[in-house]
Amino acid sequence: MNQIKGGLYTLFLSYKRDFYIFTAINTMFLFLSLIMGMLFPDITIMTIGIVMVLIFTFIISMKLLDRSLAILLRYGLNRSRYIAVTGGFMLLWSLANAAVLFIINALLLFFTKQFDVTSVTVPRLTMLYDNSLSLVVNYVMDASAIFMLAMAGMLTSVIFYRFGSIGGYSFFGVILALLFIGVPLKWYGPLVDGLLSWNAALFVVAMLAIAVAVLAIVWLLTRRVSTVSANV
Amino acid sequence: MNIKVSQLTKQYRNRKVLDEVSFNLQGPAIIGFLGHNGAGKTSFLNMLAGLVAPSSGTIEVEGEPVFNNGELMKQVCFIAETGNFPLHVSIGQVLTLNKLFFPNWNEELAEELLEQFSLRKKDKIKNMSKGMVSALGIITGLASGAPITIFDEPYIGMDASGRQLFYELLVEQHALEPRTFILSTHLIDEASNLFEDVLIMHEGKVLVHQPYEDIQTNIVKAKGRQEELEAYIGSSKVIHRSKFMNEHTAVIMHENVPAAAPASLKLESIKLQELMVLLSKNKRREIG
Repeated sequence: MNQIKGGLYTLFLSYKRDFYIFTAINTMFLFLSLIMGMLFPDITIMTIGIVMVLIFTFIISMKLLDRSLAILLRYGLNRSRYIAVTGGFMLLWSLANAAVLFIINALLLFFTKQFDVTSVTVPRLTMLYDNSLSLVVNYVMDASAIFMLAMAGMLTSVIFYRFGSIGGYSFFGVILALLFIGVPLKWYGPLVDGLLSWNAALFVVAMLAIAVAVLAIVWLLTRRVSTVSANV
Repeated sequence: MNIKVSQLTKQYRNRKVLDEVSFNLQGPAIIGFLGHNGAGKTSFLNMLAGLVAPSSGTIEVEGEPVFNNGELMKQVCFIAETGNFPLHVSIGQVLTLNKLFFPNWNEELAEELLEQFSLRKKDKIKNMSKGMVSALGIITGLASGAPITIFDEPYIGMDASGRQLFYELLVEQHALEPRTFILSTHLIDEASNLFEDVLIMHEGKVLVHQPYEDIQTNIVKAKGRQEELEAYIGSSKVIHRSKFMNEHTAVIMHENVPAAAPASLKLESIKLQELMVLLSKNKRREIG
């Protein structure tokens, strides 16, 4: 238990600075959007807090393995515990970031209403399903989306770590190729229609299921990983 | 603790850094792990600490394989040259982490050692000099109380007085609470007096593994006239020969405690550093 606690504390110490700096900048930009909306009421402004958080989380989780594997294995964790710790940390990270977004969104909605700013839209994931869904539901959706992206980042990180630059970029190439192939083959229309035909709860469950499946793949790929990469 | 290494091999692409090595290390003891750069020391220590998977063979501690063994690894503290701590944390936070990870962590000793090495708890790793980070590594290793504590070149950037303090503390801690300390170092002459057991590696193979006392008594440098020297050597292994004017010199590795030498032969014990250089040179010649 102490190893898990220690692992989480190590990651918290390693990432708290990044979290504070990013949150400060993101919050500043979101409130700047509000001020812009008040100054220029003719321009339509959309706040993109969640998008920024998703990008930031993906970048952070891509560096996770490089930054923490050697230190935590030196502290005695085995690979399964390491994955449990990093998975748990990214879950807490997602909940924390979603909580920050929840507060910012609530404040933005409050101020837009208070000052009657109509040019600023605060887009939320819940809008995909029902505009009337509460911010609490949106919090759960945001946290699930952030967690899913974090797991995708971790998978990318593991692929680069295990298979080097050639393996990593090849993997990215295949993913991009699949994405591009999807356009002429018209995969996305039915996909989006399908997603929108679900309800919010199903969407959350699907995102969490994908995240857990990706985490399982990450665990499989790290079972015998060395702190010194195979490219040495 | 008993460390058993069986047929251990580590290969990176075409390069074999460890080649089917087998040996036992029996603790408690201070074990000198020596060899030139690229001898395979760090690769072995990384595998002992469970950081790197062997290509084949096993390392067992008390009969349990070390790789991916989280419970066993609580009993191992590995202090490497660099990269032991996250960069953005303070010394105080490192001590808190150590308390969580090492079940036998000695807080009192850690506090005392911080004072001896003049470190302040609020200092951050990223702002510290190399020597200060090394000192923190040494404090972590000594206060960890881990039954197997590995120091792999632990004093990068430390001055002579800091290193001397480390040697003194190592002996003191070993006397107070005997455990297995494995020290890998290039400063062999400085540290040789600490070792109870010595293991010398060269290009992935173990060249010598003997108690330090046996090395001091069984490996000697003899100087004198050729006939007397040859008679004294007998069937023992000669590591090195040289000649200056009429004086012949041989470094002889006896199987057991050697018989008394004739008075005309001058016998000297050999320093570990010199032994390592000669053994490596011999090995290279054999391969060449």
